[in-house]
Amino acid sequence: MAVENRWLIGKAAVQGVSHLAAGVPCQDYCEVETSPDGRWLVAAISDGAGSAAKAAEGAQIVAQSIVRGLIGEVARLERDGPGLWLKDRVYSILLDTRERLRRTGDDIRDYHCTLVGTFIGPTGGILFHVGDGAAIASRIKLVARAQAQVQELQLWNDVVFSEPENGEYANETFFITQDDWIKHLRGNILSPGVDIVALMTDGAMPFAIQQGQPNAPFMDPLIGQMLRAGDAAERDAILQKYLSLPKANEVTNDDKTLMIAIRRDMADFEQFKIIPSTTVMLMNSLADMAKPKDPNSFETTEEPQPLPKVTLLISLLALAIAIAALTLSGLALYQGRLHKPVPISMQPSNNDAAPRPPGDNPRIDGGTDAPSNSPK
Amino acid sequence: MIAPDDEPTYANLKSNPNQRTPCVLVVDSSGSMSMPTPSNLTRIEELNRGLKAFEEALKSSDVASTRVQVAIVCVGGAAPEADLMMDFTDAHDFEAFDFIAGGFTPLGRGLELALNLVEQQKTAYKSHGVNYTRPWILVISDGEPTDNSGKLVRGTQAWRTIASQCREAELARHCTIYPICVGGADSATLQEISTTPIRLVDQTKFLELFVWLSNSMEAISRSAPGDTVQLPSTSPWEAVKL
Repeated sequence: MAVENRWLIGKAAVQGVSHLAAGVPCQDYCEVETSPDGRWLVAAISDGAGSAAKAAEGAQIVAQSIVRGLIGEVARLERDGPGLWLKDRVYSILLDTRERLRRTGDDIRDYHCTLVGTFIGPTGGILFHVGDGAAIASRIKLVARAQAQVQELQLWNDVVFSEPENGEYANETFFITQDDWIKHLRGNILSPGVDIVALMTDGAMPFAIQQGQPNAPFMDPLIGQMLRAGDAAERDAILQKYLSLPKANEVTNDDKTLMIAIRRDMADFEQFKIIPSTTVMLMNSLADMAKPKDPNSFETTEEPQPLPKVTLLISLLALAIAIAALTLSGLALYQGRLHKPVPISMQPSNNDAAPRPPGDNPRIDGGTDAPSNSPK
Repeated sequence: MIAPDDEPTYANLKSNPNQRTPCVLVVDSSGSMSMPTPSNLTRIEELNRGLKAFEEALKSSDVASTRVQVAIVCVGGAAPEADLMMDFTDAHDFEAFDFIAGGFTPLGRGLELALNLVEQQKTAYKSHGVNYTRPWILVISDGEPTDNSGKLVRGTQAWRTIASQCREAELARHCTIYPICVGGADSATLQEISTTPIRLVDQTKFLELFVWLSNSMEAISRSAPGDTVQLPSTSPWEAVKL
């Protein structure tokens, strides 16, 4: 069981043509750690601000601090599931990190950098984010077909997307090191069942996301190759390759840093094929900020597989019985549970006496959604 | 269906989704621009040389050619009203053309066009998911602003209105307005459109002005979050006021 829940990770940081030409080193830093059994993942990418004197150092300190801080919380995340306590932990680790930067004696602004990261495992987790770059989280659906010898996978289901926050202009974003950073700290609690997490800087975004959707023509073959790779070094090389080709540099001349983590051990399947998904991405985290949105981004549509008519009738009958049973056993069990992103205010929690609104406490039941026939 | 040997494709990726650095040139090509300069070329001929140099300088830089976008508004010249000569064009597609001097200086209308152009372009960027830097409006004039029939507008309500719209746009950080005057210009009136101090261009140094503009646009287009952009020095083209 544990083997199937192991995170397979690939990451690459490719210096952009524009930085190469100007002799500016890559100032992104990517830190990744997993628990010893491989089931819990903490990862963070920090992008140092161009002209900040110690941007590269800042990115490294911030990424390493948050990862090292959170990996110590694995037992708690497993026991309690994700919740507001987790958001408080992220906040307090970042406060400590800022203090550490100040203790160097330098102006904290010399270390200006952004942050996008995740802490995730079988009970769910969190995406946290300050500034630009992006994160996506998705559930893999195993599609069972009666005659199939090949396991078919749909990679993109119930996708959660943490967008970059840029202010109006491209060369303006928000940093973990600025005064009012708390206002720009965003987070999404993730329900159990997440199988893919990708973190990236701006430069890598066009490859992973197009028209507000995961970019399947690029990502699906990339993930397919990653799943077939022998080890982490090979996975890294795959990402490095496809972000470095001349065709990739035609798309953007920015630095491109991308980490993809997949929770599946495909060695269990003799053969697999990745098929197109139909889910539209759920946007979040900037919901309360005035920003133009992709009009398609708030719907989730999943098209049912076509079934022969007899099977359909039997299914409908079974469905009717099931509905009756469900109503009796209490619909409360299924409220607000299916990977809906729970955008949370990352302001420090007040621990006040006033009751929290229902949406604040995601249901953490460790179970999978009803219709799935996938082993977890 | 993706077979295990399939490779990631780039085919559907928008060519050049790079962030854009938009720049509007508002060029006075009124009758006075046909006056000769010490180089024996007229002011407008010097300016045309400069525009050609602008095109070449932009295209010679990988970063500028993919990120800078140029639009041109003409004030004076053939039409009595100000005219949009060229809508926003990617630098690598930009082809310089020649201005012909003549007519009056309906600068107020030209500035209105420029401000509208900037807002329309931002809407277009947003709807295509393209990031952009704060747009520049570079205004070059050698005379006094007039209306369509040549009547001076200095001190009129109409001029005060457009000038304050320009300043408010700058204050609200919608754009940066960079006023440049050529010899004989009423710099006091021109200064009213911007909080950026107006500069005088040596009328034989338009080429240097446009090379400076290209380098500045490139520096802005390269700038990353957190940078304070250091613009190149204006001394190659700036004339010292006596």
